[in-house]
Amino acid sequence: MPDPLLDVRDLHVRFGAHRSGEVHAVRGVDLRMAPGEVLGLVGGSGAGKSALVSAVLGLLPHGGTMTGSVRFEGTELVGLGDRAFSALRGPGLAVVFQDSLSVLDPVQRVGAQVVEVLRLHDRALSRAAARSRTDELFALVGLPSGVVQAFAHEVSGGMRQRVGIALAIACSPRLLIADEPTSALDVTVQAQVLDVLDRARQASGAGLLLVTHDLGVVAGWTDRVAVMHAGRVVEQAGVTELFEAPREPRTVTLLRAAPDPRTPRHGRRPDPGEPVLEVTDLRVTHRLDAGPRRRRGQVVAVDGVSLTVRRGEVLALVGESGAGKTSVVEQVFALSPPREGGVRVLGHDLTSADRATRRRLRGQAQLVVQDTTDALDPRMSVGSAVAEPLAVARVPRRERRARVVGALEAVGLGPGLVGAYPHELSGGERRRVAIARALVVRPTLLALDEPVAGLDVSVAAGLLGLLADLRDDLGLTCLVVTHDLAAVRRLADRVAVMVGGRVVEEASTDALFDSPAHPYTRALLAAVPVPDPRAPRPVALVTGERLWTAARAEGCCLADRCPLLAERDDERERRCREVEPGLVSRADRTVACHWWDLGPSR
Amino acid sequence: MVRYLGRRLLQAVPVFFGATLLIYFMVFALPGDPVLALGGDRGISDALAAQLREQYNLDKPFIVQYLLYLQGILTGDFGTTFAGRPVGELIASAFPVTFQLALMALAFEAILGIGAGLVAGLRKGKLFDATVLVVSLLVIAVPTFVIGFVLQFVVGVRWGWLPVTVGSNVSFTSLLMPAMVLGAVSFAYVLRLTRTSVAENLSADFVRTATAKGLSRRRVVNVHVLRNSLIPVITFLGADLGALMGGAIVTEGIFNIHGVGGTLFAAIRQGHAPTVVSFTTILVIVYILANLLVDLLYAALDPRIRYDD
Amino acid sequence: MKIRRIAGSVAVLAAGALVLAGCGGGSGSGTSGGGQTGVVTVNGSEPENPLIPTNTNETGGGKIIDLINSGLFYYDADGIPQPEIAASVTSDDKIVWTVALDDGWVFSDGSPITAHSFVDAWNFGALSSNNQLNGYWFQDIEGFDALQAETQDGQVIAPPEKTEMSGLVVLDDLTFTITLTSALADYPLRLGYAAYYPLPEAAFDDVDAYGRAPLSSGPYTIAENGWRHNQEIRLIPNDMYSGGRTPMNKGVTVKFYTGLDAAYNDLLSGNLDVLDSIPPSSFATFENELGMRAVNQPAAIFQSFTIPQWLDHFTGAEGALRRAAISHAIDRETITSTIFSGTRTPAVDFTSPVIDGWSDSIEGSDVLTYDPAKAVELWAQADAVSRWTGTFTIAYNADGGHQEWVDAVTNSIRNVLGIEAVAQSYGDFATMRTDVNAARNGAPSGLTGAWRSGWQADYPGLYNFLGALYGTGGSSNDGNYSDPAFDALLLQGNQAATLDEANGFFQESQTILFKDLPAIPLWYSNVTGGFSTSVDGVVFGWNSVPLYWDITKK
Repeated sequence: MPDPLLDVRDLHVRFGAHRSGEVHAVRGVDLRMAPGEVLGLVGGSGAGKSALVSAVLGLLPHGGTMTGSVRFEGTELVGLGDRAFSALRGPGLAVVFQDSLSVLDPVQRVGAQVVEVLRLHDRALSRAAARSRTDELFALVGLPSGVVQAFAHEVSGGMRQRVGIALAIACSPRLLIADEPTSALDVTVQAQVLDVLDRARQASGAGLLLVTHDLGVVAGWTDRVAVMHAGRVVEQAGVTELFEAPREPRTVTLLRAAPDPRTPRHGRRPDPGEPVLEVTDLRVTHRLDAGPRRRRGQVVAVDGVSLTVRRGEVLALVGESGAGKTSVVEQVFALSPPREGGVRVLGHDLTSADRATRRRLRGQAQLVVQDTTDALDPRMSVGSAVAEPLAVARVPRRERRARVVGALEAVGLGPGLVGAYPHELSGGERRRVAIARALVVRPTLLALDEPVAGLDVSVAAGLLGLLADLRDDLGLTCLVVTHDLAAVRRLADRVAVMVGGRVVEEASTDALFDSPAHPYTRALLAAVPVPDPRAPRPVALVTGERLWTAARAEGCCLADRCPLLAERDDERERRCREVEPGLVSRADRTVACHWWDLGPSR
Repeated sequence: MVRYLGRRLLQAVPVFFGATLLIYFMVFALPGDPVLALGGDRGISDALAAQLREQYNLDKPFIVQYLLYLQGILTGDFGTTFAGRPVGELIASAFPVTFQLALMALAFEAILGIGAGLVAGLRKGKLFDATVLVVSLLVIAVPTFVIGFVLQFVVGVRWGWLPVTVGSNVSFTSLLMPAMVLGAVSFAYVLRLTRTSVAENLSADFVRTATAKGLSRRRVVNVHVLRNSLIPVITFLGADLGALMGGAIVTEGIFNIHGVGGTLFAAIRQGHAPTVVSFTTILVIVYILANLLVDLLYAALDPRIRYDD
Repeated sequence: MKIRRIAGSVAVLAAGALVLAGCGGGSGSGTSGGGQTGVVTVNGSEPENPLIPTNTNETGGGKIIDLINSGLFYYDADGIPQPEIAASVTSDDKIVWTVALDDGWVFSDGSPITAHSFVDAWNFGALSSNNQLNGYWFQDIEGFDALQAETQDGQVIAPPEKTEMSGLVVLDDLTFTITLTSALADYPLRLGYAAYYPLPEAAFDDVDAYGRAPLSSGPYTIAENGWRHNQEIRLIPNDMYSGGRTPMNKGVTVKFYTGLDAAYNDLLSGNLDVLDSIPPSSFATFENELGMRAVNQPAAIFQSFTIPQWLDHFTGAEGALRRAAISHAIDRETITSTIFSGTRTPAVDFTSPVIDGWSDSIEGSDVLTYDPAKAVELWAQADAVSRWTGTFTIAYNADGGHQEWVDAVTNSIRNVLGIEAVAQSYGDFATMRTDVNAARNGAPSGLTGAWRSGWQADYPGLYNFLGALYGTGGSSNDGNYSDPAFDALLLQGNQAATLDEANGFFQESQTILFKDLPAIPLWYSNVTGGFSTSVDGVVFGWNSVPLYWDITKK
């Protein structure tokens, strides 16, 4: 057996927090990686994955201590000095962090940051040589050459992660650690980034430690899996073995909670009633300002969207970031007259509704926003937060408490939480409180913006279950905005797919998942990771990302990125580029594509 | 960029007219008759009072007074003081020393504030940090004139290390102590701002990225943390230049510096509008220019900010 | 095109800033007077007016004016006028005065000082269209009125009729006569004052320019480039001076201060030789800190508060009782020692101890003693005439450091008499002055009662404290006091043959003031000052200004 690349033995990590006492984050982990191996590290939040990664990299935050042994190619890392460790980071160990706006230095050009690391570890390297090496690296990770001169805020999340990968592989490390590298990205982008990561790894022959909570990612990209729970590795096995014959109960729970877009939804399907929400030809534009009173231009966020949500129905609005999903919801739930297009809520036309009508509608149409951490006032207890809409709705004071407790129970929270404050709650609980706050006024129409984004697999599963129950029990009419297709499959009756501010396909959930018609829908589904190692690895049929466009494009909004592009002759391509495809309805499905009839190529 | 600059400078024009009109009006509305005050306890004869009012246009309606003043300014004549000195001469004598004082105060607070703030931010929670925080709290809490008098007495009178007052002896040494007193409060703010900013940036994702790249701590701090941390500090410093120039009156009084503050104060007490308005307007212009400079610096430091047109 | 021009102006502005900065840096190399041997450094302030004797009425400029000019007389340490340019000033009737000049006096440009130098300067000062602040000094000279513009509602409606006073007649180059409108026995006392200094002919071409660079006729002259505005003025001995004020030092450098605290610290650290006023913050400590080098003596400054004649309950017999009661209710001893740390001396008359002819035992002056029982009794008697209601107020200007003592005085009155007595605060002197003037002229005014008042003598004579303040129609008689008997005594004094005789009448006139109390005397200000170890012979004159020429530098 060759010398292990990484050999972790009995590693403990403790954080000496000031008030809450010591936190024992990693409790005796043993882990080994062979050179060139791809190891997946999975587990729920709080399992100790990040602490483990930080410890291996020697990047424990202030107040963290580690004991035990971490050997990298035989070198003991525990207790290694800053200088020696710095020399090891880069050529030895390298890391790709989860994407965030600040993952790269905001004030330096991204190319310069790569040049910096190259020259740091190879002092003989000239500036010019480092630059050309950077260009090569950027080409390798699929970045256009102009990005070298860009700043971090000027590029998309997917591009930032590509830069991050370029940074990590710049010095050809022997061990590449990727800590939730795609958790903040769209599925199509995720598939591309993971592919790049895999290519880069193969090019350098490095080992890869892929840390993620997404079992679909693990199934698609790793050789071996370690499952962490409560600071310990509870099971280690080959990826197929683990998925097919899990031994530990924790692993079983984890696998069971993993959402699988292939599973059709259960439960009764209500007969759709009268329309509760009708959106016709809605257009939303955002101004880009260069300064006060100076408009630089505008972006079209929503470009002629029509939707209908009927009573008792759950409509899911899916699509990549920037597709205009949230803009639709915000415009509708602002309950203000739209500038272009029409919105009818519960039969009232918002264009002509008076203040009293809007006020009444406000109690009947509720929105749960995406970031529930910010949505709750940190100085307001759960009870008062949930009761607040009741005051607005002028519910008598004595009835309020019962209503609050009722709403909390409906979202599976006990009355004991009434006096709690937001910071004392977990992410899942906070989201439940936000939903309770929406439910407490007994709305007819409920909109949820990314209800499970950023939540742990098991927590997300619980929340989805709750929402399904609410849908069935209360007969809620829901508009769900998400890019999580597994959640859609579980929750929605109908799905509308948005790209570039337009709806390109709308169909019943099962129809859409089973036989996607629009090329973009097909690409979206193909990119979803499936928690099954035997399933085909997710692929990115659609490349690139939608960036804000300054003006409405001619022709099909997908014209440049369409997976069918290669199959089209010049004449057909010209049509895609110049003529906007109209929505065509057939049976229970509406599609906007010139080549619907053509079908996918085999 | 050029268009941006031009636009910003054009914006200063209405500010100039607005400021002069407003200040002129405020001086005009001051209670008391400046001419009567000239006579002291003894008073002044009716004929003389009338003569003087005529000479200084005080007998005319407000708007006429203002327009006459503006007319003078546009021809380079800032008016004359009751002492018969051209206000322009007053400006030429008062502003350089105050400007020098403000610049030295700015340099003091920038160098020491950023330095101490950086060390405190890097050693958050350690002894140096705690000490510096207490000191800065004291500096902020104790009124400037107390600091000034104590320093003057101890360092100047008792120990004789630095000149006690400035007066006609305007030099780096004589302005050193006043500059420290003037910059003391801002120094404390700069220190705290830098400290917070550094501490915050130390835990930023990009610093973690930089460390993971294999950069030494020194390089991480110098290249990545410091530049990012200085952005808010620079804004503060720029805005502070204007405040230092206009707010130097207490310090100027303590150290007998014949600068803007004292001259302005005397002019306000005499109700001499041309001096007050000219001085204040120049301060406003300095403020505008300093802000413009900050905005430009800001763009230079932070690529997220762009003034393309 | 437009853009380029704007960019150009930016460059100009930036360059301007550099030039300004450069100036500031460069001026550091200037010399300070303190470093030169034999030169005495003293405190002062930038003159508020051009250095024209008839237009300088504040101490900053006055101090310099007195050193660079000579008059008919100068005042010695005791306030006695000593002939300077005058050979004699005589009169038989105290109306027509004949002035004879010494021969050989010249201005620093060599031009001779003649009778015309005086007469022209005085006419210039009196002519109202010349805007000279000291013009009123000539109001007793015959023909003064013809030099005043006619006004109505604060507007000039007719210019002065003449440019020369008929009362001034030049007899020859060294003799002229002054004809007064009425007899003034103490007239020669006034002739040492700055307003009566001569001016060279050259001055009248462009007075403002002359005021910025005046010639000298006095013991000192301004050194070349010696006046650095707002910073200091360097005076060097005038070689051509031949009077009694011979400089005992190699020069006087007046350093301008924005505040007394800075000057005091400079004195303590040896950067200043003579300080003529101690900052109030150091009143309590300066005598300890300076020891023998501290100066604290009464000055020719009288402080009071004026109760106007138009105030309800303060007229007639009732008013006299109330005024006396209030005077008895004020504990002057305690207030001067606690609030002023002994830098004020309780008043015993309406003038000042430094004036020749002053007396501490004028009949009726016991009304100034603190006597609560008597005060209560008098107040009750007044109440028997007409019952008192309301609040007694004393107005003051908050910019002059008066708040503390006004509060103390009103407290004292309130505690003794049991009436409501409060201070009425004005933001600054000008505002209070405006209201006092309005009230005096019967116009609407915010003034609700008494106001603080004071008098600093222009010349060392008793009449100076009495005529303008309490004489019927006096220029500073803001309370509109009028008493025929008092006026008659002043007139007798002015017509007396000798100064001693005149002083007798003036003291007698005060007995009437003690009965009527148009103002309540409080205390005399002291002159407080100090000097450094490197100077000797520091003596403060009657007007609180040190005799700078007499100071020697070690």
